[in-house]
Amino acid sequence: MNNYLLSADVGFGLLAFFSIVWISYGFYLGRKANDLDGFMLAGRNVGLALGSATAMATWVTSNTIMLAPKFALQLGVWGMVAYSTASFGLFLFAPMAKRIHQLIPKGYTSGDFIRVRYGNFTWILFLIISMVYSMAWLVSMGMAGGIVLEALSGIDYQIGMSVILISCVVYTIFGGLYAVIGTDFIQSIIILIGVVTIGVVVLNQTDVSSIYQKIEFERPELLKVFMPVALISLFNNMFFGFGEVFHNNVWWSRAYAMRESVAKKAFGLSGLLWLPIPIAAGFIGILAIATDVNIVDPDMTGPLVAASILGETGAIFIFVIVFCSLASSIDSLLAATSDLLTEDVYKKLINPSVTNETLRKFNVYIILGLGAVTWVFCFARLSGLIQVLFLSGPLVASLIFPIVCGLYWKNLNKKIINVAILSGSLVGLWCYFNLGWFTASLASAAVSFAITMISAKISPDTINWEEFKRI
Amino acid sequence: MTSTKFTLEDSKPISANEGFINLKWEGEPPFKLILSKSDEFDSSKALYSGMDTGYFMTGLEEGPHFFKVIGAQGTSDVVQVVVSYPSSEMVIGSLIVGSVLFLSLCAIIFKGNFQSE
Repeated sequence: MNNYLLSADVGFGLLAFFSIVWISYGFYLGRKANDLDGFMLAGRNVGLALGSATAMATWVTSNTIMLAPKFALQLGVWGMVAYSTASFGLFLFAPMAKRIHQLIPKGYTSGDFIRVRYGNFTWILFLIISMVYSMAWLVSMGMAGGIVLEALSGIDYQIGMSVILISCVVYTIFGGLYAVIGTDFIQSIIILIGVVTIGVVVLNQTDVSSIYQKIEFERPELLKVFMPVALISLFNNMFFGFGEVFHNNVWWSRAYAMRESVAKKAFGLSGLLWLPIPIAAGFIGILAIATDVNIVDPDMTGPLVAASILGETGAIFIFVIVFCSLASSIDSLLAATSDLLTEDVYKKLINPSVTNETLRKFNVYIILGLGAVTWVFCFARLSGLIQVLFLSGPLVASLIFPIVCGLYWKNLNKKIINVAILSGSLVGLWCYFNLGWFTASLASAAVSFAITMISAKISPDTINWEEFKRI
Repeated sequence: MTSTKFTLEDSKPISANEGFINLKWEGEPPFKLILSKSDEFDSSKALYSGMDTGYFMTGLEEGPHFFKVIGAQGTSDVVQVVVSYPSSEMVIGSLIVGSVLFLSLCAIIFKGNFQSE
């Protein structure tokens, strides 16, 4: 006897079916990825439907499915709202995407902008922060995949994790951003339909007023308007999200890949499509209290509650949604991070005279290498690595104002910008360890903001916007 | 047979400034997890009864809380959890700072976009 919600046969069947579908579709889409622009940026011709779907699917990570219910269970209604503030990252990146297109029409990475805008020291600082964040995100998703598949169907952690990772690496290698965006489109539809269906069915099977009464009786703090940690985490989460979106090449590469006329609309629409997902997932977390499902591992709150209410069908839905959300984020990170390493590290630092054909081949080796490194970390299953993702919150938040002001303001002191990033990161990390995680990103952003404002006043350097056109 | 005991790494009393704690225990099932506001357990409520060896308690009010587990092989030691939420000054301060930063960010982006068009 086992306690798994799905039989291993069903689990293996779903895993095999979706792996084959993604790899085959990736192969099919990849036939257009012949040159460097095709492979890295899908020919810079992505339209509104594919653009908004890929941004939305990428932002639905394992965290959205697993952390949003946990957040709601920990912090109540405000926790649910706090998690959903991550959608503001996409809303505000929408106008920025338009500006990025105007400023750097031939750009490849977010690193291109930082290097030209602030010089080599800031660029290297940026690359270190971005690589720490990206690797932590990549590894945490690989690990989450293995853990969820094992918890739902008893598929061995190492096997589940390996299949998800290998599938994503294979279709990204053959199809580049064409394959990533194409599969994201299908995955976003599955995620959206799946989450909304679960939310509606669960809502129909439960009585909201009795849920309210039960929470009010058992855990009244979760319904209070003044829930201290949840209120503090409201803006903290929002600024963690801004830091993630504004700096990471996952989003910049999509901005470059979209047609200029649709980039703004696509990111705005993706934020709207993403918004209901953490709300629905969070509601499922709240239901854990009302349904008396005992939560032993809080990371499994969402899958356990949905499956306990909906039975095997619910478990299948969760299995598929988790697989899609992981694949849509892992492939994007593999593609965007390999672009950053290919363009910013190999071409700019090691071999400036390299041809685009060689770069195209080199990018494939980088994706393979990234996949292998991620697999090794996931195989070791070091729980501390998840912590690194949360610790990167204050690091990425310190980049928000240097990036935003750098995009729009001509006059900023480059040396003081470095101080802004370093000070914001250090103060944020201090707050993380001494005041709590719920203060770190906000504190980092606040310090970085204050120093960035000073950098606009004290001996500012002036940028010639035309320099970006030469990228 | 194993006696019933909590498997917590933290020293007592446990501080929980977010109002939640993940309790784990070991022993022979079935278990009953009891919560009380006093260490005498004169007024208590059963949070969980069953075979699981853990419970994720959230939404605790400010102040001390006492937990114990009754298993088939006896009762565990009492664990004290002290919930101390961040001060209201800190909450209001972070809301003000967050609002200022958010509005500034919006102003920079939207004004910048408007001017660049």
